[in-house]
Amino acid sequence: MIIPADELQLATERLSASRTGFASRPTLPDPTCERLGAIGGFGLLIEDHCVRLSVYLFKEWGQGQHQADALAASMATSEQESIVAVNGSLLFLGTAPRGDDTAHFALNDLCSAFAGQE
Amino acid sequence: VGLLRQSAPSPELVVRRDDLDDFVADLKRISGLTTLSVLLPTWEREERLEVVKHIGIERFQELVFALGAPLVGALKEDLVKGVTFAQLAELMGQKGGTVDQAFDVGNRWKVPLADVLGGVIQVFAVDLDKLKPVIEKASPSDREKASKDTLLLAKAKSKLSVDTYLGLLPALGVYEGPSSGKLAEGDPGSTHKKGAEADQLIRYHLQKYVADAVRAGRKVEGEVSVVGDTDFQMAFDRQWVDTGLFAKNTVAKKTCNAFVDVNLSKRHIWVHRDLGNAGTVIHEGMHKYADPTLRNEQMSLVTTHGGISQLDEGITELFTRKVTSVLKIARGNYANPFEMADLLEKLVGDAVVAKAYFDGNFDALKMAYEKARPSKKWNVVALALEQKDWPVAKGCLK
Repeated sequence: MIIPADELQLATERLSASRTGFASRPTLPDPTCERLGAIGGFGLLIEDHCVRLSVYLFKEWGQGQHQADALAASMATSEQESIVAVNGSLLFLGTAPRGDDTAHFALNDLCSAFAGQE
Repeated sequence: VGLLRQSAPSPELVVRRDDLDDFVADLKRISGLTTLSVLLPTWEREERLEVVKHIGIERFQELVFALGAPLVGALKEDLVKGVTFAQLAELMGQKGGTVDQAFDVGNRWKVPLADVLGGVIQVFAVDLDKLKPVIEKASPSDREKASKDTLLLAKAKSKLSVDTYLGLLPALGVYEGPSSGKLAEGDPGSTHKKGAEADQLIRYHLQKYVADAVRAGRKVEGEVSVVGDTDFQMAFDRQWVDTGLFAKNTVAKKTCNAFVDVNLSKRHIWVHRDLGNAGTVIHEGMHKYADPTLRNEQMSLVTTHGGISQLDEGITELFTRKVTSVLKIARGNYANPFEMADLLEKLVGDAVVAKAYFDGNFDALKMAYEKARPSKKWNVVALALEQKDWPVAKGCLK
């Protein structure tokens, strides 16, 4: 069993520059943790590719699934391309400018890194 | 009955003429005791009867057939007290019995697989070549019971070599459900597929692609283990750390959800019980149906990324999603390799990609690509893919 605090650390490691090749700087998650009912989280900006990541930690394993569908629906009409994914107690939201191939590929690689290699 | 009445009654004969079943049983008993007196002529009659009393005529006979009179004679003092299979295996170890004889007794006595393996592993130095035929011969339900026997697995871990133990797990089909009731990715109640189920799904949904692979005997069942932290780490260390591809003390579950033993002689699949989604075993299982030609050739271009070919993973994911999309299993894994494989399929057609991936007809794929893109060479896109240079790869494929 993986406990939630470990999962946040796990996500940080999986999205680190050493693992993904994408240099990033920390930022606040957007939307806020409070708004999604998360108990923690972090944000990352990958400035080279205009990609923004928000990772949220929920109290229960899989709890983020409830938020994932709503987030995906709300982002569908956005000018930003977005990916939403759930991994255990974590929820991943990545956004990038729509139509920008480089940003799109970066976003895909980061989401794959968050999901874990198979 | 009349004929028997006229003959001199044996001391062991008790004929119940009003009950045919009892009569037949008595006949069998007499026949069995007679056989034992022939097989073990140097034994006293009372000694034979004492062993019969404890282990039964049939088991006693089968024991002599399996071990031979001399070894059974050496075990006499213990047999007259009665023995379980585990005790017998231990005694055989002390008296010069062999592992094959122990398995023979287990088979003749119809001992459950878990008990046979437990008894043998405790006493004899065995490798997977000895264990696997016995496991494969067992019924699926017997095998499943053994795969859930935590005492057996703990004993195996402490007694067997790492390679034999890690070979035993997929042979038994060890499958641990998610510890919290659902997988990390997926809806409530989501679980990993078992090997046999993955085979059914792949063979049904991809039947037009995998016929030759199936004929070649490729399958997931017997090759996959869904395990917890300790076994996952053990398998990860053997494949990735001991081979120098990952640093010592790398935590397996932080690194991946599942993997295939890519460069070991037996390419087993390892899946973490909690991680990934309901399509993970299908993705890993797809690798088992693949011919190694494409992967090996692309791997020669790989210098990083932990020994994984992006084209191989992309095509694996392409065929995985042909199955999981029907099952409504959402997968975002290998997003970029998948997109590239999807573009490649649109360019040369699914049959060409499938022939390259499942049957090893990789040259035909390269030719089809260069025919579709006359101004481009396959080597350029092949290298771009393995270098994860997605914009260049897309430019070549779109």
